[in-house]
Amino acid sequence: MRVAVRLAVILLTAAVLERGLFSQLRIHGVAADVLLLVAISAGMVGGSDDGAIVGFFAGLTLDLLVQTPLGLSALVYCVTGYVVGLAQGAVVRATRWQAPALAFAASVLGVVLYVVASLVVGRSGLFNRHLITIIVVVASVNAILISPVNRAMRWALGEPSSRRAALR
Amino acid sequence: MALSRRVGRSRFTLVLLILTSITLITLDFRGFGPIDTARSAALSAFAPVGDAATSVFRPVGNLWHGAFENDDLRRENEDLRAQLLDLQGQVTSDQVTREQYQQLLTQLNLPFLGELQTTKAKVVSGAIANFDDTIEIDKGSDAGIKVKMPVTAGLGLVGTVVQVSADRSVVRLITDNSFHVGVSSVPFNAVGVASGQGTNHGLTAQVSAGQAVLPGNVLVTQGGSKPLFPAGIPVGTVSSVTNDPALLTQNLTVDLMVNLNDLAYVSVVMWEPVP
Repeated sequence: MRVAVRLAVILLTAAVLERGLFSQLRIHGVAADVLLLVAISAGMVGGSDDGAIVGFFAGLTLDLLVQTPLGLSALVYCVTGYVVGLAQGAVVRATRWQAPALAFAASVLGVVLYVVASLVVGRSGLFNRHLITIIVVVASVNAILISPVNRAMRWALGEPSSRRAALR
Repeated sequence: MALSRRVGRSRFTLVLLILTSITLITLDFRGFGPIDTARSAALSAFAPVGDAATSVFRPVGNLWHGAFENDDLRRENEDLRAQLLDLQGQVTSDQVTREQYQQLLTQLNLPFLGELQTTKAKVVSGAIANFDDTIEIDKGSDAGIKVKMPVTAGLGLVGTVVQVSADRSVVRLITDNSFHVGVSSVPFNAVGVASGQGTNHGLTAQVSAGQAVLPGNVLVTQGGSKPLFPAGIPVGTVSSVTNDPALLTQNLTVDLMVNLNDLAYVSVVMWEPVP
């Protein structure tokens, strides 16, 4: 229960920051995607299960705020969070650059998946030169912001040992 | 063993969430009522928090724009001064043209935009996500605004209302990929369809081959028997025309009448399409 409340706080904060701050701080017309970052962070900190669940709700939050088909971001962010969890599980020895590198790669995956999913549901025209700018900006900003978001996600999900104890 | 069980469980979770997402997408496409209600509720509930956050972070945003867009702003300022001089000269001739155009519309039994009632609204937020060309305005159903009403700024079309709550509305911009509008050119009356090309990509239009269209022609909303927009709202100016012999069409690149990146106030045209 406490984890759910903490996650709701993180999702709400991310949504407020997305609308209030990051939609104003655009680089070449591109805004950061903090809710995608939350999904990626959940995958990194909590594994594929948490990545998928948090990613789903992060996407759903975004879907409620924008006019794209409801469920589209939820689908994409849930898959992205899951894949990040799998990739994180395969890491043998973590280095200093591992988290930013994984956040960068996962963001690229997330944006590309979103465009492909949009195409499947009939939203054409997203494949253009601007897409490269979107990918580079979103991935770079997410790579920079991953450390503080991971810290917040550890607070929300709790340390793995305490989570196992809570589940027992 | 425990690992394989955990992987199996997370796969099950993933499949469940994917199926839920697909269900939601399907319901949204079918126009499932509760989804619209949920979106309107989210729009209303989030508006005060979002506005407060926007106000708090506005100085940061201004600092950001000042630091990274100063040269662009100076260039834009110079361009605008030059345009102002040109426009002052055009005002007189435009008044004559406007009167002629109004007479023509009257003869054709088409409504003239100047006669339609409009409601001014303030733009409170730009697009939130990167693939969502929308703006949020500070008036909603309490001011009589309804879904599908056209939105203009100055004399040009900006978009159409897609979501309404009591005191908020969301406007889909004409640059959105899903935006299509029937247009006709002035003065040759070539008829076609203009489509949004995404943020920073403006509009393109297609008219059938053989119709006379030249760069510099103005495209206006077309009207018709069951129009989605009232006839005669300027959409943009044709900047280039290329022929596509295979499809027997002409592809037009359109410069917008309105700078969509810089909208502060818009007018909602209190006009609804015929169902």
